[in-house]
Amino acid sequence: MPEEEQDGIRSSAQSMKKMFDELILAGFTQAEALHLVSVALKSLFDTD
Amino acid sequence: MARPAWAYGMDLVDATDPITINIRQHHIDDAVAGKGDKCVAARCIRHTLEACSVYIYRSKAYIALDQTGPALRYQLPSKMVRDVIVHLDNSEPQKIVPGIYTLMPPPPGQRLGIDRQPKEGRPKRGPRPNKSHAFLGRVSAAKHAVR
Repeated sequence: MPEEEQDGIRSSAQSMKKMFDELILAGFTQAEALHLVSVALKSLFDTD
Repeated sequence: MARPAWAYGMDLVDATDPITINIRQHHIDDAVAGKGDKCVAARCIRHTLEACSVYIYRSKAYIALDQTGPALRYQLPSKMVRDVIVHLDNSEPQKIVPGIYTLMPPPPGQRLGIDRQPKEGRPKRGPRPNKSHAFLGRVSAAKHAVR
């Protein structure tokens, strides 16, 4: 895999982790936060 | 609970799933500062979701997908408030950062119907005793004791 692609994946994963951490801090449970992050990730692909 | 005028007579519920929107330059160009239904985020959400009514406050968004409702309540991401809402309210649209933003359901502590009153038995908050005076009083008494 090219290095730029790896960087892109790493950056996206960090953004998702940051979103997850913010949700936990806001008071969501881990299961809720995980669900929200996964739905957000899916809707990201649906966004034109 | 503040809610937009169109949401009266309509069920108001907290969203359960996030939505992702892509704010583009044309949303910024058409936006009106100080109007919760015509701001950048409202225009973008209306365009993205083909929503019937949208209203944006400083931390919450109210979205109705059709006339019958319900109106869904979302939490605005702090990044959007900082990079979009504040700049528009300050009449600085050139500083607005276009991009992708995710609106989440309100966190558990801010959901509708949650009891925010202090529970029975807990001490009510009131003015705190001025500790500095109490401390100075002790210092003064100690000085007298030394003399």
